[in-house]
Amino acid sequence: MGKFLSGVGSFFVLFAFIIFSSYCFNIFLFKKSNLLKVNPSNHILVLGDSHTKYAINDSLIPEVINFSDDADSYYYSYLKLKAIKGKNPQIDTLLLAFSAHNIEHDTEVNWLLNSTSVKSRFRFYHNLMSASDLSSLIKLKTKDVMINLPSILTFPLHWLRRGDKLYGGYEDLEIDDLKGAIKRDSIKSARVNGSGYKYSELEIWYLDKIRTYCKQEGIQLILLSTPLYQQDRNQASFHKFYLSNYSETLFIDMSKFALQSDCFGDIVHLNKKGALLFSDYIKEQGLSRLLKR
Amino acid sequence: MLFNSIDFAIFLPIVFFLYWFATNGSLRVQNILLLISSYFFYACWDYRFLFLLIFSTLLDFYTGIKIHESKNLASKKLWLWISIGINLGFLGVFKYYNFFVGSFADGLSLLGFQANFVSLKVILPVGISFYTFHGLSYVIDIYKNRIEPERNFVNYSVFVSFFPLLVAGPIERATHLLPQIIKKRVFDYTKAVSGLRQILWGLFKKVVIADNCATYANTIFNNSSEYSGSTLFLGVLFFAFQIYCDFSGYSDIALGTARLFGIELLRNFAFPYFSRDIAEFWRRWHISLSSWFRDYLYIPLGGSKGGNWMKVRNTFIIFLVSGFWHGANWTFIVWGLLNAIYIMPSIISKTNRNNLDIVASGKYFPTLREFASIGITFGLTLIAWVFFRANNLEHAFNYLSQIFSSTLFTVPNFPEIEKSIPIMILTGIFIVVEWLGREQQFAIEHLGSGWYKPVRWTMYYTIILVIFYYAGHEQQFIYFQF
Repeated sequence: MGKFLSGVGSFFVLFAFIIFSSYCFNIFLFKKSNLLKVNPSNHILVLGDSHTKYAINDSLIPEVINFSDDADSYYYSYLKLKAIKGKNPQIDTLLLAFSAHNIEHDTEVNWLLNSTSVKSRFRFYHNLMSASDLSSLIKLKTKDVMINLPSILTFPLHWLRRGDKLYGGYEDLEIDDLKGAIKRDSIKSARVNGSGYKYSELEIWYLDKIRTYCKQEGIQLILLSTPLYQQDRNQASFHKFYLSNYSETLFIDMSKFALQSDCFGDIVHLNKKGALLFSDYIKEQGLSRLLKR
Repeated sequence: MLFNSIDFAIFLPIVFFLYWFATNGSLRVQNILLLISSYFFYACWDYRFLFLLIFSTLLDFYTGIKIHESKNLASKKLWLWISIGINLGFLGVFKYYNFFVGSFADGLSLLGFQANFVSLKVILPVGISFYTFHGLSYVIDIYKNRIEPERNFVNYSVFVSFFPLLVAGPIERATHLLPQIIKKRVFDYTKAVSGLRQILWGLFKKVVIADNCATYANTIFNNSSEYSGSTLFLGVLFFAFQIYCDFSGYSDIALGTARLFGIELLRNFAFPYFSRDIAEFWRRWHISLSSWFRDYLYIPLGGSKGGNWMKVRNTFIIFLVSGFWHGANWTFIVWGLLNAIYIMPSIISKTNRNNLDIVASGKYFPTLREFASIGITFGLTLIAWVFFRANNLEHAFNYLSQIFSSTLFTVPNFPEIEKSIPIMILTGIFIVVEWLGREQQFAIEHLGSGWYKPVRWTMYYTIILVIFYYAGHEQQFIYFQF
């Protein structure tokens, strides 16, 4: 038994040591690498979820760099913001996805507290976390963080596989599912009809942290709603929330921006054509004119 | 509590330490601990059905003693049928009631009658098919005077409920497991290390191969009307490796876990996809169930003693019951029927026991003939898997007809095909490792055992790394639903 326990024990001690070394190595690798380092001419950063990811084609707008990713909670946007600003001091403007669902309770459950979400992100977000970021995630998802510690080892593999898109970035949305999405949404609307819009305390907390960080670092924060084919059923509550809590923060609401139905992949995401038109519009108008609008 | 969960990763070491260190070597205390742990493990699924498990255990414990104590055959038979009746009654209510009622109503409607039967809104108690079969084999063995009844309820309960095998087998026999439960167990270093290796290999199969293949198999099967024959063929391939790695992965973890406690469970899989004919396949796939049906159904029905007709009839019965055991759905019954048809030529020509050895034993490569036999057997199995996986018979027939169309010769394409390529490569590597290890109990049983320790540990760490890299698509173990 002693031989067995010492063998298993040393196997796991060595494993823990490898994980810790890998953690240190990943941080070193991240600091020394060009990951999240952008062209000096890019001073407008876009962060957020799939809405901004598929709507803003940064290759069409020279000043802009888009690091939005699917189902990005504000927690992960906050981590990216700090890391990107740290490597790119020229960033002076942040365009942040801001729609009704971003501050909805379901988002917190599905995008931040969901075990799969922790599993799929911890492996390459751990090196963007400060001690306090890590401890706040541990407080929220202790078990999931613990079980995903070994996934730290896989960071270089993920980096090799995804390259510059590791932390998100614009991609063409190839799906064509507008009709299906309308049908699904109508079923969902009927099901949730009458149930109140519940805010996510956690998402709002991290949105506040982003706002505070922007103030500290002299970054102009601009909230952005991208074009929607169909307005969110909670739009009125969402606007009320904005006006009572964030009215001093700039907000570009493009949710009603007129686009044909063939510009949408589904009811909330622009497809390749939509992104092209929308990004061109942003480029032509410029942020200052959009804000006036 | 899934085997591939953090809960189990905490549960197992705690039980292991208590078992070997807190029981002071007392067999009685060890068995009580195993029983409490097993009930806790089961209660984590659904504590309400724990009472059903305990009732079933009590029933067979008591009827086993009554059968043994009965002075005459009629009384023995009565107690046996009480046990069989109640056990199968529970199985019937929880698993088959809605199927029978639905099928009966459908039958009546075909005759022009409308019938509205009440269907039960009950969930299937996890593991019911497995622990019911444990109990049945126990009372039948007592009735047949193969064993004496166990007089210690804790010992018997551990036999029925031992947590590694509780929810998805292997289906144990009292003659094999009970003697291990009542005998003092001594820690065996070699067995324990082998157990850990088998757990690791089981996790690799489940987390890396099965769960990832499941993602692609589901995509293709759920949208089968949209894809070409070649894509549908790829879908069945994904499913074939999903179901094999899911179930044999589970069995590996179960066997490995039991070995940590000094208990050897029955082997459940023996590299079935390297079989040269269907009869060999069924000697290598879900062995504990196949042998259960052989011993408790096929042989009592007369087995192969009554000539060809008897063999044919009994084989059909076995495969139909086996299909039905898997689930209350016509797809499973057709799956069983199809396998009976496959095996029939070898039964009639008495060649079903031709391939009892291991294919290409002692060689790296099979002969061309062996390779072709393996390919044909695997191909037949794939056709049967379509029925096993399809939502209903119509879906299965449409799926097959689309496969056997001119689009079979196009390039497969589905939305996640690029993402699936690494999994295809890993599955290829997995097949090679399985082939090289086919003469062992599990593929990596001896792999690296003679290597320098750092190299061997590097292999373990690499497997762990791959497990964590591909983790994230957890699926329930398929056989939990049976």
